[in-house]
Amino acid sequence: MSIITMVGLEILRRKRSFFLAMLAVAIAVATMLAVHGSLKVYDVRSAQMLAVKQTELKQRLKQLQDEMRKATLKLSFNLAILPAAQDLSDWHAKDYATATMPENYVNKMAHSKLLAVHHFLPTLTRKTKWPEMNRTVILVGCRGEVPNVAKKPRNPLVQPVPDGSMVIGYELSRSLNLQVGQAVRFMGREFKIARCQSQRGSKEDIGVWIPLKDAQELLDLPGRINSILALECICVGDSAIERIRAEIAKYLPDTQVVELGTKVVARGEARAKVKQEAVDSMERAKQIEVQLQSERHQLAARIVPGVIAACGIWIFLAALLNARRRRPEIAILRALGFRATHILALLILRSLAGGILGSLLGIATGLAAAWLLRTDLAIPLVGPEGIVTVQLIAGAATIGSLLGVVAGWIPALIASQQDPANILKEA
Amino acid sequence: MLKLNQVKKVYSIHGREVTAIDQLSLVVETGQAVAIEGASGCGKTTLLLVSGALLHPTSGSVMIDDDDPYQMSANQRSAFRAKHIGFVFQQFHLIPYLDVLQNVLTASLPNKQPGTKERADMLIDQFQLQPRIHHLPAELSVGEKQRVALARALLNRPKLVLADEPTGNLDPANATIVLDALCTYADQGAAVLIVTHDPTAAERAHRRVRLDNGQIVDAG
Repeated sequence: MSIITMVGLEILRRKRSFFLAMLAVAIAVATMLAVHGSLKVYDVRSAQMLAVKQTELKQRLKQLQDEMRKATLKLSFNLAILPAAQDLSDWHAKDYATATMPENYVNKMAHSKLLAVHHFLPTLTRKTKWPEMNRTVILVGCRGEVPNVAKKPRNPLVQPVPDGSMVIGYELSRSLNLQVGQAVRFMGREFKIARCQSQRGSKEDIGVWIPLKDAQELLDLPGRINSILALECICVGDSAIERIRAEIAKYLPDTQVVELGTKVVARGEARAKVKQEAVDSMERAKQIEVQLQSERHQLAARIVPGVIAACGIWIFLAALLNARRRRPEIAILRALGFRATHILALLILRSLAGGILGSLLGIATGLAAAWLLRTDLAIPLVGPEGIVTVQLIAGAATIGSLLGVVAGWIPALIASQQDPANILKEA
Repeated sequence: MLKLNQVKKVYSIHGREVTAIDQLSLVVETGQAVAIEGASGCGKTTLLLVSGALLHPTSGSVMIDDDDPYQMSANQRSAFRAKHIGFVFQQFHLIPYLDVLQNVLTASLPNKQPGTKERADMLIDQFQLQPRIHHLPAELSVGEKQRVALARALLNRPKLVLADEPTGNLDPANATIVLDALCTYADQGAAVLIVTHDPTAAERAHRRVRLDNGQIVDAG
């Protein structure tokens, strides 16, 4: 027989009261682990969701910028190079130049060292009759973009019209019931419809795009064009545009340059705004997540100590009840020669046993809860990168064991200090 | 063996002083079983607790074999009780979650000595408790409970045994067993003080002392 044997026998034969104290420790420990585990799971989930959102946003931004670039195609025509003889009033009135210039001007520009321009688009445009359909159309002969050889290559903004093909505006395709793939005759020459444009609400809705060479032959203007559009110019600011004008004049002295600069600024701003909006949106999402995370941690910082305190009170009351119920037993033990420290040990060892066993039960329950919370997350349950760390488990076990001892200390101390003579007299 | 000299014990109950024993002197010699008789509330239990080094007297001295336990520290007094004093109470005060053998052995925990287990077995045999050795107190009759309490009191071979109404709850047969054991133990060289208001029990003692209002009215 020893005091430890007595503690063990008391626990075994008064299971219910011991179990209640143990349960309180288990709840405190399980709460610590489960709350920490759930915070970790939320944090990991949030980080994953943010990462997915960021990736999606980047892709969407790229896509949006590309769409924007294409949608604002005309806005990037910040310079139009026209024949020097062109009357600008007439050009504005008709939207195309009546005068022409040699097609090889575009090659001169492509091989110039004009770094401000990415692409050149030579076109031959005329308002003409489509005799086979009895319609007036805007005929555009184009050969696709000619890249500036001095610049890093970029995706073309305008695709060339394939040989023998034709692209037609929305109004023409709608009113003439023309379909992609259909063969049509235009000014006596056969073309296959490669694309029907969607509605643009401009003169382009009655546009017909054919290869430049075909347009030159049909209009009897071989080797001639009437404008070169300089695309994607970096020409923000008054002095910059004057420099570009002077440079173009050096290569093509018998031309004039019309600035469409305000449009490119608008386009650049629009693209920058889209990008900024995306960045701001991501930043807002991050800030909201950081705030939510902080709120969750603050809540946990209140819940865990609250639960521990409540469990501590529960253990204290259970220990107090146990000590009161055992007053006659404690009195006779004192009469038999047990010291106050023996009585203290008898009661504290019981509380410690409740703390240790309750901690083990709490760890098992907490880990089970963390396992359930983890669900589809590919992170380990226990480990440095896991939902709970070994240090956390050890800490929770220590706190649980100490909780049992500390909460049971005062009742044990009171019991050990009580006067056995008074109790024996009462009995 | 036990010498009480001019012992007085005053309780303070709700601010009022109540004298339980008053200038009481008593000597219980080795080999003597002394019965303390008296009506309820005459100070019998207080006398027993004071004699057992459990209740500090207000004045006077208590000597057990030339030692004054009240001059000792609390821990020394506990050790002294464990070694030299055995208690038997009317309510038995057995530990409910320990069986018969374990209850008897609890007396050895503060004062571990070799051969305790053998002595416990011998006492259990002596008090005819062998068939009940692994039974819990709740499974015992009142007579068996008192015999367990007696075995526990005698385990450490104390010089002084203090019994408070040891036969109060017992049938005559069990009362006889308990009183015989106490008197036999006194005959073996111990001092036994039996507090009782049962004349039959008092008759078995070597000497009868009558107490009234905290004072000895008949020293026997």
